[in-house]
Amino acid sequence: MDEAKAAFEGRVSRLANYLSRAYKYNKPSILFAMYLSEFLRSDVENSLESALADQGLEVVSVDTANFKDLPAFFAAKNSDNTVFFVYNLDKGFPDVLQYLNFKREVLVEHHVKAVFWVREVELARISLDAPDFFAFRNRVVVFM
Amino acid sequence: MRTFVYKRMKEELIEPEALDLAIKMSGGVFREGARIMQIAADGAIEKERTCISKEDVERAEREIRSDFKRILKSDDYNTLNEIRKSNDIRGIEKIEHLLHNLSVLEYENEEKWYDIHPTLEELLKK
Repeated sequence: MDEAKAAFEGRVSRLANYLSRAYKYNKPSILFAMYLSEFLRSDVENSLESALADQGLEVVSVDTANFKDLPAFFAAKNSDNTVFFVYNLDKGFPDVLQYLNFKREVLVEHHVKAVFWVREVELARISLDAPDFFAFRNRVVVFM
Repeated sequence: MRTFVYKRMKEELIEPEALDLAIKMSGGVFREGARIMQIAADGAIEKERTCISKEDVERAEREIRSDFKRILKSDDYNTLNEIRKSNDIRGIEKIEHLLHNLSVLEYENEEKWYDIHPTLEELLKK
C-alpha cells in the first residue's frame, strides 16, 4: 500500500471512529471534512459511508442550497444512528451560518452527528461568521 | 482547570505531565481545555493506550495550531505578534475576529490584558 493511500484510509477510519464513538456513547459529533477536489470528496464520502454502514450508522445527506435552517432540519430528522452529511455550505451563506451560530445548542441537545464537507475558503468563512458554532467543532480532518 | 478535568475523568487516565501541558495549552479557557482533552483522549484510544500521555497532548496542540493556520489571514500574524509582545491591543476592529476565534484571549486582573492562544507561540516564534 503506498503512503498516500495509507494516509487516506487512516483519515477515513479516524472520521468513522469519531462518529461511531459518538453513537456508542450517545454524544454529539460536529466534524469538518476539508477537501481539495470534488473527486477526492467523492472517494472519501463513499469510503466513509461504507465504514459507517458496517457499524450500523445511516447517512442522511443535506444540501444547504435547499435547507438553510440546519439545526431545525437536524432536530426533525435525527435519530440515534443518523449521521448527517452536509454539502454546499457556501450556497447557503450567510443565512445558514446565522442559523448554525444562533441555534448551535440544538446540535448538542439532540446529540447530532454531522460531517460538514467544506473547502478551505468555506472553513475560514465559518470561523469568521459563525465563530461560536465553529468553537463547538470536535475535529477538522483534512483530505488533500 | 485541574479540578475541571478531574471532575470529568479519573486521575489515573492521564499522566501528570500531560495534564500540566494540557492546562498550559488551554490558556485557562475551559472550552479549550475540554477540546485538548478530547483530542488527546482520541489519540490515546487510537494507539490503544489506557492513559493519556504527553505525546497525546502534544498532538492536540499541533492539531489546534493547524486549525488556526487554516483560518488566520496574513495580516493577523502581525497583530498576533504585537499582542504577544505588548499584551495589549491597538484598535478593537483589528482583533474582534481574533477574539471570536480564540486566537487572542482576554484576561482581567485590575484591568484587561490580552495574550495569544498558547498553541500559537510555536508558530510565531519562527
